[in-house]
Amino acid sequence: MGYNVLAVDDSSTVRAVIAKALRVSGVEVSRFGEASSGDEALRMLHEEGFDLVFCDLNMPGMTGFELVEALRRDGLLESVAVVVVSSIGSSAALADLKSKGVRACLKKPLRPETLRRVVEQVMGVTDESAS
Amino acid sequence: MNPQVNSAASRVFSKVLAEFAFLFGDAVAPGELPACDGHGYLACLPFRGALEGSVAIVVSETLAVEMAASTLGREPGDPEAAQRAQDVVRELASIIGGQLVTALAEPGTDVEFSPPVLFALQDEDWERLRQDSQTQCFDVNAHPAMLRVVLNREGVSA
Repeated sequence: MGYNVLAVDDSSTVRAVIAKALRVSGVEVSRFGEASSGDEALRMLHEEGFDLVFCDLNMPGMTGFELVEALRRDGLLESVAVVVVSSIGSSAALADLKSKGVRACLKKPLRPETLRRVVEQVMGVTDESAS
Repeated sequence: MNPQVNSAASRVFSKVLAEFAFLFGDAVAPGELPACDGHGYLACLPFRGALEGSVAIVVSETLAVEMAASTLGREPGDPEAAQRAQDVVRELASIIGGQLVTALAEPGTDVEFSPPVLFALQDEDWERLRQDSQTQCFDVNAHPAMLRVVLNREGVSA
């Protein structure tokens, strides 16, 4: 049984790269959803069930920071593993996101081997703490 | 441009290009920039806060398609590569700008980014950018690329 994964990024190419990286790294995915903005992701997360979310930070409309805040407010960060995938964000900002319930932060460009390791960590396949 | 910024920008550009698109760029003098065959694209990432300014990358359409194909693991002739070329240029500016500004900003300071914006360039825009003293030029697999970093407020530590 694979994971239900949601990729949130305004770049369709990044969403395609995430899908490919999951496939290449051997992560089992039952359903792969895509959202191009924080607003669309929030709606999908309320209406559909996802186990794991890969979320960009710098997006038009609702940013990744705002999406994380909305998910925290709605209590979804406890049941959905959110991994930030971005090239922006100071270490202080990323630490703040983790304190709110984000499970891990990955730096773009994404590497399949890093993706698999982080998926295993945040989904509890290994007992190491998330990076 | 501040030589430290110049050096950091060139380093980040080459590193991200290799990691994101598996392509390699060599810094060249403006007069040695390969010719632009067809259209050019400029993608700009504005930022403000502890550092204010913008990071822009400029590539030929042919290079944009090649980058898209390489990123997706497709052949340059694949229709999907052409469809995604502009998106890839925008994303490349976002990654390069994000990494560069994070490297330049003083630890603990906040910088806010806006989403990157993309422009199609006319010939005269391309030439003006090539001759601009704030522009660095690159040869990427015999295709032209340029990088332009503008800092209106510098808190440079790198």
